[in-house]
Amino acid sequence: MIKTKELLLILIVTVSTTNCTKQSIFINVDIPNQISNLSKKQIFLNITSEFENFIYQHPQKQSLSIDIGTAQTFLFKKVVKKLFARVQTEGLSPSSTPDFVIKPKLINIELSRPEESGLTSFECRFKYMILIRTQEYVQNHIILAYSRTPKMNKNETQIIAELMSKCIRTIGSKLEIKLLELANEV
Amino acid sequence: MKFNIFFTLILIIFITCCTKQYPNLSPSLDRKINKFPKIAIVKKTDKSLFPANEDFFITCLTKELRRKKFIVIGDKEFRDHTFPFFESDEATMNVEPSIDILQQKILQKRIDTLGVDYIVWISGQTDYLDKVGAVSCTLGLYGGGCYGYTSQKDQSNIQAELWHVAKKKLLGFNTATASGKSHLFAFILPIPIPSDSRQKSCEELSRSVLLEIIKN
Repeated sequence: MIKTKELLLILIVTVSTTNCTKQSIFINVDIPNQISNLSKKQIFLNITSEFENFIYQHPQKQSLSIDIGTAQTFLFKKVVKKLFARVQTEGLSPSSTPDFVIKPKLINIELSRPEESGLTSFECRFKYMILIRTQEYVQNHIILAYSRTPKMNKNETQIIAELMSKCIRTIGSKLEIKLLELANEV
Repeated sequence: MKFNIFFTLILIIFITCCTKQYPNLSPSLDRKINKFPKIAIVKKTDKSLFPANEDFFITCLTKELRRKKFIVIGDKEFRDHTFPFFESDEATMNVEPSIDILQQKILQKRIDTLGVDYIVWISGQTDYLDKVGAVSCTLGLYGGGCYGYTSQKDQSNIQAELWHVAKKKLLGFNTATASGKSHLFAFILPIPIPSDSRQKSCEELSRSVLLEIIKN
């Protein structure tokens, strides 16, 4: 009986320690809402489940995982809906013929901490390949984002969250510039 | 009674003499600006020129320009209003946009809505030079304290690029450099006396930015 109690206690301590060391990082998608003239063009934003559910796992620090999928899905939906009035994100019916089909894919993500890079700052790199398909052409558009944040007197989770928000904002700005080009395309 | 009046008079004279008078550095300039121009102060982030702890220059310049009756818009507010055009691109070498960006019609509309007349790009840094002297501190059972003296020279360098929004013109590139020395005296308690080089360079820059605006 005593042994069972001891085992239970060890189990509880182990579980609580594991939970405490796991870093949960919340990314604030900081994209301003400006009032703009919405384009009448019809867009189909093809978000795959792989894209939506992507969780980044840091290769050196296993306890560090970031829910990128939710942030990037929110970002793409927000930026596209900011510029286009008719946006479809769910299954495309065979009868509908959108002007553009946009399919984003995250092809590279890197997060380096000062311990790994030997620098004094945290760095992030994102690389997206965005497939843009119209009735006339298909193109792959590459978007890169790099950002860094100095090592400050904040905790690591907070620094990484801010850094990721900066990178996501850069992606958002580049995506918006590309979409503005598409919106003004004849 | 006479003594009291005499004493009060001396006190009034003393207080009047002690009140520091800040001279108006450019009285004629203040009069020349009739309306209150709107300035956006934007932080230049390229080439690592602007370390995180140098936000002092932004705060100081904002204060100086507000004192000269300018309406100042901060970095975040300006970038949010002009999103996505003024986002710094750290993935490439040319991080901040060039003045040609003002030709963009959508951006023009957004800047017009905000009512910005001038954009000032700020970058700056403080270099710390040779440190002399030493301070040592001890702590024992019966108390502790510090003893010694150190001083360190520093040089603050601040740069500002000024854009005229309506003319879509680069008005100038102003720089201000000031040197200073910080001291640390320690006799039981350490007494730090910080350097004023950053404040001096900021004041100098605000004057030159103001002159540039008046000339144009």
